[in-house]
Amino acid sequence: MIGNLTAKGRKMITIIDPHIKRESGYFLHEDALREDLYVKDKHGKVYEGWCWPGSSSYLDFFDPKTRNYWASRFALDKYEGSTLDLYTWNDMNEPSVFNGPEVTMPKDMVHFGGWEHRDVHNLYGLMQVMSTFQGHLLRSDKRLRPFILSRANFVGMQRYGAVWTGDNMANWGHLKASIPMCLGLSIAGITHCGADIGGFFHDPDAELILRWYQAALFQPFVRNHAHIETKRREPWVFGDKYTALIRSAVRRRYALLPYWYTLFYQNEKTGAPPMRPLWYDFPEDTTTFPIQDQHLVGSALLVHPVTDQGASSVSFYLPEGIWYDFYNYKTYVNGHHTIPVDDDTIPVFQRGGSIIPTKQRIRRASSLMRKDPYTLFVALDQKGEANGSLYIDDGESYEYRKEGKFLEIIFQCKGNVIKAKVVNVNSPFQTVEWIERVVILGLTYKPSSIEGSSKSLGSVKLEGEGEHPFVIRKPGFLVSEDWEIKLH
Amino acid sequence: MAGSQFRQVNTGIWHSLSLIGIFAVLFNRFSISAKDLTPRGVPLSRAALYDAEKDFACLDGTKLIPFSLVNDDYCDCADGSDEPGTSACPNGRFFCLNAGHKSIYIVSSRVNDGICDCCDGSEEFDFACPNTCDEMGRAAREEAERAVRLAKEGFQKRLEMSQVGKTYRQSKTEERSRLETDRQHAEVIKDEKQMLRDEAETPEKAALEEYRRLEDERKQKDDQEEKQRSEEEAEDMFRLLDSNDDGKITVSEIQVRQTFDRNKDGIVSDEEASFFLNLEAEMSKEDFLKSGWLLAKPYFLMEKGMFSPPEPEHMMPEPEHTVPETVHTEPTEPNSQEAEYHDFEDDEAEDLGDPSEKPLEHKELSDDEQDELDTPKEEPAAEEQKPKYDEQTMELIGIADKARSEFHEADKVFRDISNKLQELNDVLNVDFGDDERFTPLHGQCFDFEDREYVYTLCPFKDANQRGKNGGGVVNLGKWGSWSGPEDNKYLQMLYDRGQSCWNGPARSARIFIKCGIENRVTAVSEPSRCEYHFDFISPSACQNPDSLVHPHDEL
Repeated sequence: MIGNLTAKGRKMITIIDPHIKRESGYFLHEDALREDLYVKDKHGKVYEGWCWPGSSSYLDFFDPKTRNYWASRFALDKYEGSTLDLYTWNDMNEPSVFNGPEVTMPKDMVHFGGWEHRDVHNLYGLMQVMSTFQGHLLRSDKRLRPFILSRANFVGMQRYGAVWTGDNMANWGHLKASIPMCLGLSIAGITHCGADIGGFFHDPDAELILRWYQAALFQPFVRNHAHIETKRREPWVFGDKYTALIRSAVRRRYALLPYWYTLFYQNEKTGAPPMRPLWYDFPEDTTTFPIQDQHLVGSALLVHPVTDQGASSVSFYLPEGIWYDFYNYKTYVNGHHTIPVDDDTIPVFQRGGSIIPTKQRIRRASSLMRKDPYTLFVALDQKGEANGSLYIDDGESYEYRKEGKFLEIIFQCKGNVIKAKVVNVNSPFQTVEWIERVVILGLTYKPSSIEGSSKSLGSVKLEGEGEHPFVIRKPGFLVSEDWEIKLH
Repeated sequence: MAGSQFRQVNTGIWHSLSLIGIFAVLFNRFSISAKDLTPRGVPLSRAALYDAEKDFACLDGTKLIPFSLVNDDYCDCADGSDEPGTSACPNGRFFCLNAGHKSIYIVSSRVNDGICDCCDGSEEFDFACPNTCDEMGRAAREEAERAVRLAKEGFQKRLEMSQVGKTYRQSKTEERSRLETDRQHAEVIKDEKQMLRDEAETPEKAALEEYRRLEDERKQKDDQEEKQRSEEEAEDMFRLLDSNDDGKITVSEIQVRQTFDRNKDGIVSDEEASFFLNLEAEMSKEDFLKSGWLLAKPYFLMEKGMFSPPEPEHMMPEPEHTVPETVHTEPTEPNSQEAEYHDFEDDEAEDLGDPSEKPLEHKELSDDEQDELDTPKEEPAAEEQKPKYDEQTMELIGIADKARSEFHEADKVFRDISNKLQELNDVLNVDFGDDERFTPLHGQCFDFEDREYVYTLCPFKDANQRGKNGGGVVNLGKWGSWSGPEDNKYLQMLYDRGQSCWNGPARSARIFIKCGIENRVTAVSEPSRCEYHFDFISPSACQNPDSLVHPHDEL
């Protein structure tokens, strides 16, 4: 199954919970009993609770011995049927105990070091994820980056994986709530956040799931997930019309992946959240303070997803500056606006003064986009200037840290010259990616000639078309070298 | 052999250059296949649209571009027609020749993405894909031949099934018209017998009416006498109790009589006494005759040993009743309503774990028992009271009884025929497919076993699921309708209105029918909660093989 899935460049993630079925003959249970890896009650007896498999015991992840054991189980030769394309989702790790007080462990259960559960409850999930993360690291000899998704989370979770907002419901209120929930988590440092698209419980109708996709695709972690007793809800089960609309939304996400990737690089370096409230970038603008039905993606994009049933228009607020509708290029200024929306509309605005890297080629999986060329969106501010950046690495390993195998590129538009400059010159990272297209928004004149230059191409005459946007056709520069384009 | 496994890369020189970097990356994509001079990704049949000597007109006619921009890895035409051989256009398509197998178009997004999609590997030009066309072509041809063989054999069987179906319908249709005639006759006879019965019942009814009148009169008289006797008894009693003859009974007058010691403590308390005086201090004769006597009478009768009292709590809400315990020690008497009542109480007291269901069930059961026991008791009683009739009346009854039984018989014949006709009509109303080809499936059932369940499909009846480790049979749906696509609705059956899922919809099952040389369920799944899919093969779904595409029709 993994082979079939990953043959087309996709990955697989399976669910692994911290409770272990108490069944003699089950190696994990027997190992845990023998090696003393379980949480115990105050009398030193192994604690038994009730969870999915029935009678279960809970691994004590506070014990380094348990964490090491757990991590070792992810080795490819130990984890039967696994490959490096298989990743892990830790669920029920609050921990969830069906017959426990408040559906968790009794407060006087005892963890490693004599700590009672009441003292360490909130950390339990984090300790499990830490160990799962370690296991994924070790299975590739620390070469490849793990991906872990967790339901429980705590300060520090951002180092190990993504989180989602738990078991939500298929209704418009919960769609709306996904924005402030992930904004809150983002500001708290847990930045890789998302909500179950369509709602976990109950069945969304076509309109709700479409709008949920449109909103979620502009949040960090994207996943459609539902309770086993709900109806099928894959993007293609709502009829051709909705399949096409959802496809359109998904493609916009893929196009923006280079931008998201760059934002997460910045997140790793500075902690700046990719999804952020407006006031993060506009702390002087008090109007932005209470806004929670729209948000920023980085500092360059502002999103106000449609979250009302039957909406034919959307009202939103734009802080200081010029803003361009990212999909129809209409220009807006600071203030409140109302625009009509149709089924395919996702109100997204690019801030004047920003440059966003995208990839417009359609692929089946993001791993197949690696060699594809870039389209840059240059949105000019009042002074005709814009800045942006792009981070690239191999997308899977730690070579960016260990060997400096990455590219950090700064884009700048000033005085009719668009420039790209590689920050880390002499990077050992190699790529064939190139610049396919430069889209300029807010250009006040039509250039009579365009001249491009880079070291390997030398000086080249370029073609452009349109006015707003003005599109420079196929500059062809390698992304790994400096280049510039002069507009005359 | 190894060489032929791999696709010829357009030109060897470009391929090796691609290792060097930028030049190959940018210029490899301009290339036109040296072999046939059509641009990459374009079939020979459309080569004329791509004339290297002329500017290229986008196929939607919207734009004219220099031919050098065709396949230059940049999308210029809105319809994607300028980039048939690259991934540059979001809506483009790439033609794989796939010599040895089937030529196909793939979407441009699969061009040069590192995954081999065409069996000739022609869409990947940064690395060499193995050419699997010969192998796949052979497998496909074998598969197609197998399909034709299957279709031939299956179609033959389908014709047979269809013949069976047609014969069936014809014979059932004939049977129907036969039964319709029979029913007409039976109805005539039934109506006649009904008339005769009505005629016989009229004199019988008149004669019996007379007897009933006499009986009523007698009963009325008896009632009158009984009432009078009771009144006299009451007056006697009043005189007895009213010791001072003042026309009133007082508490003290009651208290002297042990008869009224309700709790048997040897003393007739004030409360006990005033109970009989409607909680007043005294009672007039008039009130005593109206209500006091009713209260006092049971105690007098009890004293005479003629009456056993109902349990105290039936009479008034006394708090301290020890009766349940008393009853508990006695053997349970199922006929007695009292005993049941206390059993019920005991259950409640002892079985605190399950306060709701069990006692209720118990009670219902008891009521039923009671009913059953009541019924036969009354009938013999009624029999006894039946007056004896004179000879003439008996004769009238005899005639009427015979007329009634003859009518019943005629009516039964009529109803039996009607029922048969109804069943027949139900069958004849089923759509067994064009040519009646699905008829032989009617009345059959087909099982399919998976790890946990046995699924049973009984075409035109229902679909069921039965757990292998116990648990009952779950109805997944009753025969609903043909539900295939409009142009071929007989490809799919819908069984709906099945047993409801807990907290969910009623179960339903869709049956997907494919051609096969036997009738068999080949797979069952539940792709959505409570919605089941059965794969079913049947010769009745086989198409005429002459209408199938022949395997060597391909390019």
